[in-house]
Amino acid sequence: MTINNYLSFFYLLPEIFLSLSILFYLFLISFFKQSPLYQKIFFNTVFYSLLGTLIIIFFLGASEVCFSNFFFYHTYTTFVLKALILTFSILALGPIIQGYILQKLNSPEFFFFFFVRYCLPC
Amino acid sequence: MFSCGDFLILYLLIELQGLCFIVLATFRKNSYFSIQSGLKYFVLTSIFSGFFVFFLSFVYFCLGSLNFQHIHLLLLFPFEDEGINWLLRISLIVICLVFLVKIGTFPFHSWIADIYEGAPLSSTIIFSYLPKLALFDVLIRIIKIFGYVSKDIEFLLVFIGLSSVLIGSFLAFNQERLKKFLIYSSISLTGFPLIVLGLNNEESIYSIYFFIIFYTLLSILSWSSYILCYKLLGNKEIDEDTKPLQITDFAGFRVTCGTFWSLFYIFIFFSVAGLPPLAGFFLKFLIVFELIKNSFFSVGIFLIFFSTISIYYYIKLIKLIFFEKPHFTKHLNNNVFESDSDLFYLSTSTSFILILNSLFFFNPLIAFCKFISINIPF
Repeated sequence: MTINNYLSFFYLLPEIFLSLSILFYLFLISFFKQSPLYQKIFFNTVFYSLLGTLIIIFFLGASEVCFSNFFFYHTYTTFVLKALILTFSILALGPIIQGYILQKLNSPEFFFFFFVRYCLPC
Repeated sequence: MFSCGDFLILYLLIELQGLCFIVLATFRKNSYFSIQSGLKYFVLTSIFSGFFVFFLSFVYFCLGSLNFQHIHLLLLFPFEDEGINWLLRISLIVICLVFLVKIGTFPFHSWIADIYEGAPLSSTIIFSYLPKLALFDVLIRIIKIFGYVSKDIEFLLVFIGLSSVLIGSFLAFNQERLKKFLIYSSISLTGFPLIVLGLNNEESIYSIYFFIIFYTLLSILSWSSYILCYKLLGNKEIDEDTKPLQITDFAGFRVTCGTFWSLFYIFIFFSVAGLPPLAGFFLKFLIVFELIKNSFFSVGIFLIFFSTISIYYYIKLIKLIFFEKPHFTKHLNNNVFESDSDLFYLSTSTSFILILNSLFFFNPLIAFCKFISINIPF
């Protein structure tokens, strides 16, 4: 395997893991939803998405450490832009939460997806 | 996305965001519209992600690398082989189209409007402005990286930008649902920075960053006004699925909800319409100024004309607020300052103060945007 093959595998691994974890979760839902085990252990989408996201962050972080300034750039401008999008995300939080309350979406998953899976890639 | 320097990492990040987008769109599991919107987005993005990867393989085939720096160095001078040049041109067009799907401009406006409309309110608020800064930043860098190839698609970007402004303005014209009206209004506004991108002039890029910063603040305020209308009119009367908020619900708003809130709406709608000395005016002014500076006189005149059309429907709203008889006979919800809405009022008032005082930090913000545009990394 050349370095490019390793890198391709490196990119694909987090997505493969996430897909497998979702499949595993669906399997658990199908078979164990009625069992007391499901009630006891925190088997829900937040748990699996969090796990998948952590793995993705780990791999992206590892690639960043290994190949610094090849896949990612760290300049003052990128820092400013990231700070800007973070400020906008916080500013937008008010209307987002109000929309959430108005439509009675009572699940923490929404905020999880918003913060971890949506703002993070920016 | 701001710091990625490789197309494969960029693809991974876009997909990561796209997957989340689908989940957020289908968040109301019992709503037919929500599921339909998520499914539409899934189909649309999977097709374009496929195209994205397919045409990235062409870029790799032509240049042997997907790294931004390598591509930039390789494309400083044209290739002698015209076949490779054509392949790169087509690849760049498809890559740009993928970004236009994510941004939500013409020719994907009808699908994007359906997706935004069907998604839950919170998700629509997120989609309509949060990712745009990152997506425009990446698009600017891609245009810059592709060097001489991007000069051949200038016309396409200007055409798409102008069409977005035109079609967004005309489609917002006849909308009765307030949500769809705001969506088409945002589609119309996103056409402006695309036109500047089509100029392919490094000195004009700062106006795009300036536009996106103020566009985000104005979008926060527009959606806040939507939610505020819900709160002021009482959410028992209006439901997002069964009886959504209509533009005509603003009729007699001054009588039912008071002069203070009516003035608040006036500032927001006049600002989005682009009337001086409000922030919306500076957005459009800078774009037209850059177009005239680059000798794109006809495009500038077209933009001014279309902006004038869009002023009509904002003034129509203000006419409804002040001069029409109210639909609701009594003041439905006086107590808008509930304990759960502290953060909402904090966000809205901060954005509102920033928009109102835009005149005072106009020069520092332009300097800031110029700094960003000069130091774009790739």
